[in-house]
Amino acid sequence: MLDVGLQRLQELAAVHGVRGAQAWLTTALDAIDPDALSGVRVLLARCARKVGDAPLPVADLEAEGWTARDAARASVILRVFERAGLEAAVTAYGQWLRRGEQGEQESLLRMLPLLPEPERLVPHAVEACRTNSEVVFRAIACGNPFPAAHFPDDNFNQLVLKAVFMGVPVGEIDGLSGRVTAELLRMADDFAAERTAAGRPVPTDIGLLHQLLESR
Amino acid sequence: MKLFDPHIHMTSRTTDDYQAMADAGIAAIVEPAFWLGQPRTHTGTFEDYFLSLIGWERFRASQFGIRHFCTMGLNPKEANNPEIAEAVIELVDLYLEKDGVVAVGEIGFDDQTPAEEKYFIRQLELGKEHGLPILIHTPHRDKAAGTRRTLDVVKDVGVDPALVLVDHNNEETIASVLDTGMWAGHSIYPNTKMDEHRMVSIVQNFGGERVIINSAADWGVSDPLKVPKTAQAMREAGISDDVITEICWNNPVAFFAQSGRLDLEAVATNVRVDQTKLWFGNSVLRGQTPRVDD
Repeated sequence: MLDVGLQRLQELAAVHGVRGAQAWLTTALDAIDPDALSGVRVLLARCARKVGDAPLPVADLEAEGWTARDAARASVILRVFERAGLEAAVTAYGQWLRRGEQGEQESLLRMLPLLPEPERLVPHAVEACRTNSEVVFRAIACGNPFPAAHFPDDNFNQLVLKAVFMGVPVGEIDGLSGRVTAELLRMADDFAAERTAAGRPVPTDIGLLHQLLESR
Repeated sequence: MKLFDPHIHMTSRTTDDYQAMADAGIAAIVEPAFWLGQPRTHTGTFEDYFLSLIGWERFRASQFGIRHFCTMGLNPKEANNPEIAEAVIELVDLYLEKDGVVAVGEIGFDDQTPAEEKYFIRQLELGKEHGLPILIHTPHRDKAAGTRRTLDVVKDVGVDPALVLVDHNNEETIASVLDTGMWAGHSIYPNTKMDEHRMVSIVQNFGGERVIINSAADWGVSDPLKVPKTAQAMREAGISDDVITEICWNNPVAFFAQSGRLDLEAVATNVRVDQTKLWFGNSVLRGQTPRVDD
């Protein structure tokens, strides 16, 4: 289960980052100024070049898909929460997520399970699911325990249906089996009926949803 | 035969598309305000988008002999963004007054959230205040339930069904829409939504009354010639020219003419193309000889 703090993230970014990553990140984290948070946006962007995107071994985090820059960005955001306080940090997180480019959005979504006060971050995570980018969608939907742990039913159901729609395997949605409901199956079955009426193939993942509910 | 594409996002299309559309008989289009493939981060970008719909895009269309109308609205996806939604609604209220704007839209449900419902209702009310028809987008996920909910909301707000065009229908939703007295739009896409041959079957089953087709072409894989292609498929299937004309011209003209801003006599005539014209000093030409109609 994904559960690490700032120091461990900083270490992972340093070990797997490009040459000079450790020194750069140490200085950057020290310099974060709660009264000048706009500067952090530049840091988040700079993580791409200063740390790089080498994959982290799954064993290090017990989570898939993480890269060195994801770890660096997570350490930056945790430092913002430490220094700026909850209100300012949540607001800034939301803005950076909305205005980030694809790679930044991926990192910000992947780190969600590590951030404090998850309930405050749910609206931002739900909003991120409206993306058209499969890469960004996968960062929140796949291998990320946050949606199953915190999304309300309606939003979780939309996430699952969107995965079926986009052809993202629902088997990769963390914690799905515990969240399959009759309403979700109703939505999936309606979708199957629509595809049948249109003479188009029905995604096999709809059968998997039924199996998950039956096996509970 | 004059053709009307009542739902196409030309800001994402090229001048080649305009030329091909004109060559295929498309004489008028409606460009609904929608989202841009990724969420906007500021209210001001909406204003510039709205201005381009009634300005530069309308001019571009005219340069190829196509009449360009548009709709204004806060789309359902971005209605979920509390940082911008209220301010955009104020802009919509303003831009609904502008020339060339023939409906509120596209509005409706995407994720079917409370925020979407709030701004859907708010914009239905704006339609009533401005005396404009409404173009409604139906959700792609949980579509059947979302369409039923859409029809209920329209009824609750008390909008005249004759003023409502419900778009993106399929085999499962069309009957419920037509039963209410509203108009039923169909987006003909290369893969998803609806294709030419399924549309032929629908017309064979339901006829042409209050049935409308469009390409919904945008920045994705889509085809701005789907209206002429579907007209051709209907013709090949033995559907009469009267019914094809009803669906591909008379219906959209009649629907949007309810705005009072689409002149029936003017729209029946050809646009006189004059490519020597400029828009704020800009031409669509790049050194070509301007076409100037008599």
